[in-house]
Amino acid sequence: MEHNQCKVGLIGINLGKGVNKMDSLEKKLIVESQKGDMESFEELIKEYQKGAYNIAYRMLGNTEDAKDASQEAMIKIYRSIGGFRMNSSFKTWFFRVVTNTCLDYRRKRSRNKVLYLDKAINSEEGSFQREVEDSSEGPEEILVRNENIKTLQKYISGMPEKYAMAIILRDVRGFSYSEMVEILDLPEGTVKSRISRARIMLKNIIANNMEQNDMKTV
Amino acid sequence: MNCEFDKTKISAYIDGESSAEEMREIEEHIKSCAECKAFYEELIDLKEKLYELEEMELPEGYEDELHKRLSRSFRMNKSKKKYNWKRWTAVAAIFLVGFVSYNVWKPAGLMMKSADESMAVESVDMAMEEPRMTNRAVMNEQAYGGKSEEAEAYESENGSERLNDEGRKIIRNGYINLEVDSFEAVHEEIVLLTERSGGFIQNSSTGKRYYGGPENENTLLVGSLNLRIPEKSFLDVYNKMKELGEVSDSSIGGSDITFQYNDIASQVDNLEVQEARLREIMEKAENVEELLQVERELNRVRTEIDRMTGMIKNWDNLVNYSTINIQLTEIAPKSTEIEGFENDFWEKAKREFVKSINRVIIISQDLFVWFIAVLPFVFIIGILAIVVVAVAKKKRKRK
Repeated sequence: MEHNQCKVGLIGINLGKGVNKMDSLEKKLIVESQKGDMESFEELIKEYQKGAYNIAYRMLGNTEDAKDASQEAMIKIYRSIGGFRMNSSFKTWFFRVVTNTCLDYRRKRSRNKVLYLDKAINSEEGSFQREVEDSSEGPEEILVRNENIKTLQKYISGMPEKYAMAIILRDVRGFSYSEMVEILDLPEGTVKSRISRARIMLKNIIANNMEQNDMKTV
Repeated sequence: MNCEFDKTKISAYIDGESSAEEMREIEEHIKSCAECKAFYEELIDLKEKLYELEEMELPEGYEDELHKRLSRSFRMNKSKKKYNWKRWTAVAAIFLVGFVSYNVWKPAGLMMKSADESMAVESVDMAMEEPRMTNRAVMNEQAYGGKSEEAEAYESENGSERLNDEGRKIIRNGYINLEVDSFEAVHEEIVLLTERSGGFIQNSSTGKRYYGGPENENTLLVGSLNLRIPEKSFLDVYNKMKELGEVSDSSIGGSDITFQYNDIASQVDNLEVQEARLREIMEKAENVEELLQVERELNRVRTEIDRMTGMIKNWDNLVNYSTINIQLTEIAPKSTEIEGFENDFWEKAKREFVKSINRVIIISQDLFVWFIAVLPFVFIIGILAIVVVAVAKKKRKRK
């Protein structure tokens, strides 16, 4: 049931009430984009594209897929922006399309059953280098921390999609509950319980794996 | 996990998303329940862990790539906004069925006319392609590669005009249609390449193309270049030029003039012998009349020789310097809008649409005619069928 609701996405644009009041610049950009002006559209999504990329990355676990999926989402947004209604929040609409596209992408990928082993490693190397640059911790600490991040990422992208998405939106990207209500198109109660369930699930996964590691080392 | 307390509330609590009343309730409960306190702390711990997942920077070239993909979809958007695919496939299916059945049922003779018509349309299309192909026996590039040595050997003979028997004289030419981001840069590059190869520019023209209406300041450059490249570096230069932009069309060709060339060359040889003999005769001439006659003849031979050597020189020039025609079209770069092809697009669509309508009319007419034409047969077959059925019934009754 929830699954189906999740899928709605692109077509169901009328969000009812908008959470954030749009500022006039954004409004102007949307109007221009609806007329087909690509520059305005690029300006409009500039603020959000990093968020889109990050959601995709956490959901899919490697940079290549993240890039592809997030761009695909933005193309979809561009194509369907004509149907966007001003009385709802562009931000949540944007991320609704992004989350749905990422989920579709993930399903497609698992159907195709491609092994993204090399890509995942590449991407992790990428993030490793980045962290060396901007942190002042000792190398060993970084390594441990990096290892943790890597495994944490793996756990998240290994969770069932709706829980993974809940964790990513709430705890990684920091969306509020009311924003998530609109992005996921679910009632608030469901959002709440889904976040809670996702956290318990992730907590258990981490605990189980730690136990296993302990067993191994002992 | 014995405590019945709603865990969802605790989860919302750490996000600061619970009401004041709930907050008080939870805080109360945690104080007294060890299990829920542990749960609360674990959630805080998890949240901190997740906080470590830093925001990833966009990979390099992300926005450029997105821009490209967007402009591609922009173009597509123009041509197929929102299609109801189901409906369109249905329409397509009907058309397909109609077309197939039309071709299957097509009785000989009756529909020849429309078939001819469609042929005519096709041949018009073909004709548009053809000019580029004619007179250009398409060359095998590999075979060409093998030839260049010979050509070099030939050139080292101090550019001599005559050719030994095995040598072949081939005039080569290439055509490239390039789509480029920056007209000027590519133009410069082409000039440079040409000069470096020892060739020259025979012809060059540049023009402006407006898009978004002439009052709009956006212009794109278009132009064509006619280059002459020493034949030994022809292929090399040709391939390099193809790399300068998006090749939308290219061809390479050559025409073998060895036969004509040799023919003319031997004619020159003969005339030269004749000339020498005439000079001999002139020296032996005894009176003015004879002298004048010989001189007239000599003059004719000389003109002929000049004409033919001129031809040979021209051929040598064509053979030694291959021709490359380049058509350059500038494509709108990133910051500019893509516009101005819409008009043409609709024009085309309209034209095609009208064409199809006409065809549909023709087909339905023909079908109707065919139906009428077939009626007598249907009639006869129907009567026969009735008779057969009647007879069969009678037989059964008798039995």
